[in-house]
Amino acid sequence: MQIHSTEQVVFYLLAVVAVAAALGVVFAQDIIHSALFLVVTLILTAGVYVLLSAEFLSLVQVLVYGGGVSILVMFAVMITRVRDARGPLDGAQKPIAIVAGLAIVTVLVLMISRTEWQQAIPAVNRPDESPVRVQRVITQTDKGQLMSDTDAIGHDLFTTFAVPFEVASLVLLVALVGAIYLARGEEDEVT
Amino acid sequence: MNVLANWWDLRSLANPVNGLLGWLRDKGWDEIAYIVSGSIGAAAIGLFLGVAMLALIWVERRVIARIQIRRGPNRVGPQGLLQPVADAIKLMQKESLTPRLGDKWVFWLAPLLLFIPTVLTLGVVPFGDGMTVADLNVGVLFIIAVGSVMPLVVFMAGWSSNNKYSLLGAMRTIAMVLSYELPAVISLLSVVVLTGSMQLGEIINFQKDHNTWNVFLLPLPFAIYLIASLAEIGRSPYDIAEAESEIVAGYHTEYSGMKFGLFYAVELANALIIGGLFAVFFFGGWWTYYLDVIIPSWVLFFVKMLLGYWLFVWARGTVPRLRIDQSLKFSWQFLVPMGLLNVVLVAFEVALWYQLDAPGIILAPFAVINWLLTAGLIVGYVRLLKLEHTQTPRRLTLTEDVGIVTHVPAPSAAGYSAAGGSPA
Amino acid sequence: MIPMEHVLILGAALFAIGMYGVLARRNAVLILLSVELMLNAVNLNLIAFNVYLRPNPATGMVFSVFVIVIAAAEAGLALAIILRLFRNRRTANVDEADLLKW
Repeated sequence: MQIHSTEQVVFYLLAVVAVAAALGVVFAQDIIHSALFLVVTLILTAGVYVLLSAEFLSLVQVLVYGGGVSILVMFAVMITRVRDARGPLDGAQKPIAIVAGLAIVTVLVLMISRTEWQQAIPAVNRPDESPVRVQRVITQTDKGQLMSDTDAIGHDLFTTFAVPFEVASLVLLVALVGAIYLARGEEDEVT
Repeated sequence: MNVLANWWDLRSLANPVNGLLGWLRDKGWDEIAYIVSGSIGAAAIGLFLGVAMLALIWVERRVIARIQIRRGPNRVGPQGLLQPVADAIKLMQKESLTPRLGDKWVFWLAPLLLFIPTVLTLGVVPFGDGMTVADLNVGVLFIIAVGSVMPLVVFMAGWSSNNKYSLLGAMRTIAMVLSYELPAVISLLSVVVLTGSMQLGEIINFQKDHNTWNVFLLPLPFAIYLIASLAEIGRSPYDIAEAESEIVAGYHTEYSGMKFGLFYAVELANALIIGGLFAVFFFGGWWTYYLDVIIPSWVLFFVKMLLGYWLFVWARGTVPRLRIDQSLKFSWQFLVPMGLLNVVLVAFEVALWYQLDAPGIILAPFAVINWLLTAGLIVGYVRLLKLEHTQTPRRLTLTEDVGIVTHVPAPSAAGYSAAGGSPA
Repeated sequence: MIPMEHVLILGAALFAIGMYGVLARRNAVLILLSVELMLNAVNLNLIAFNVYLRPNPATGMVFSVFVIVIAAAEAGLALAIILRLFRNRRTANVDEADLLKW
């Protein structure tokens, strides 16, 4: 494995820590620790997105997962915690799960390494650029202007994918109403 | 503007840095220039934070003292200026306790992690003309995203303390931040729609190009962002998360020594940053109607930043604390719908502006419309919710408010006989 | 530039770890966390394909925006259901919620 640029070094660091934190998620014996490890993994993945020049998505990832989902999980953990009954967090099917996990990672890695990928972009990180320069995804609008990934996502989201976008917002609304209805409980219920 | 853009021209502190970087690039040391610019930025932020901390603690205590009719710290050094240094030395000497049944790792990590969003946010703030460490093209989103990690860290602090007051304080903080993040984001959305950019430098340039401050065009987002950001950083009147009279000190009850100092420092720094963001989003940043030609732009920015900070201190000294249900209700029932209406309004105006291909002077009627609609919306919505105040504020007089009827001859009244002043 | 295969292998590793978590854990909240991990791995793959293979239009990125949206909605709903389960059965373990088996 040859290392060509600073970008790559940063990527391998991020990847190793992210995988370690992901292992923490599934092996930690405390739910809160598990959730905190998940936040670490997600934020490091956001770092990988930046390296892939998807800055907008990386910030959205931090915003949604680091801020929203993790807090939701914390609240759920707090509410569903029983002080006495703290049984094991893993089920009896753990050995099978290990086999399945190893099997799928083997299959996927084999598949990835044996496929001939037809890359559209040639090697872009020219040595005359500054070392940690992020390769920006440049797309063109109809008028021929250059766009960053934020512009590109915005453009595509409101032209090509306008209907899915509306449907997604509807899904969010339905989920919101449903979650509130489910979590609220009945009038006389003891929570 | 850049007639005298030499390294010795301190109207923009970017000039000396650019001079140094240019010299390094001429030598062909591109990578060193990269590292040097990063280090200068980091050092500048660290220096700024350190100096601001020490100065602001003094400012805050003196101003609060003046509001409460007392002196404030005035013994250590001239006018008590060295009091923050003494406090810092005292905090460092103190023992840092760790609760035995708490979660030791999380307990240690929380104060350190709390500092990261603060420092990162300072990275995108334009301190002057060309004086941004990293002017990201998604700057607004960056500020929001980085700030949204804050409740998680607060939760870590509150949960790992193994103390019910800490946990309650953390829960209150999270509820507050989650409810008030939404109006804050929506009000910033108005700014982004109007200026057409998420880059902080571009937002300032828009105001410079059109000879206006955003506050003239967007009064409602300004008000919403003021209230929401006050709540997000948890300063009074929204300091229910650390209400001393209810839950000791909130999520940092169990913290002592320098770890407590970190929480305190972050609170101050956040208030300062919000002051700076106000300046950027609504008051033209470093640009101030040609004043920036004479006065260095960074001086102007710091003045605006400190004025914003002073506003927060003022609010802390004068406004009583809200109850948590009141403040949450206010956010969801009032701030969020108003903000959404305003976004729609601004979007219409911007669309009209682009359609007509009109010159920038069209912003003037927009400003008038926005101010009128803001007034109308607030009055109308208050009527709709039947939130009308039943009592006009009046100047308080002590004798009336403790229940003593003033026209009764005082000496014989029971109110004066007892030390506690039980009302007659 | 980072080789695309390495990004994909990172995604595969995260996905496998998430799958292990889904299969091995019995606490419902932890299962949900593992599902989030898997969705995240999928997002990583989508973005990598977008950036390396078909940079224009930004389909992969838009798709991962949708994945994030759906994941957020799913987290909210699933946690509400877990809350409901906990209130009714005083447990958040999925193997104890076996009423439908009888």
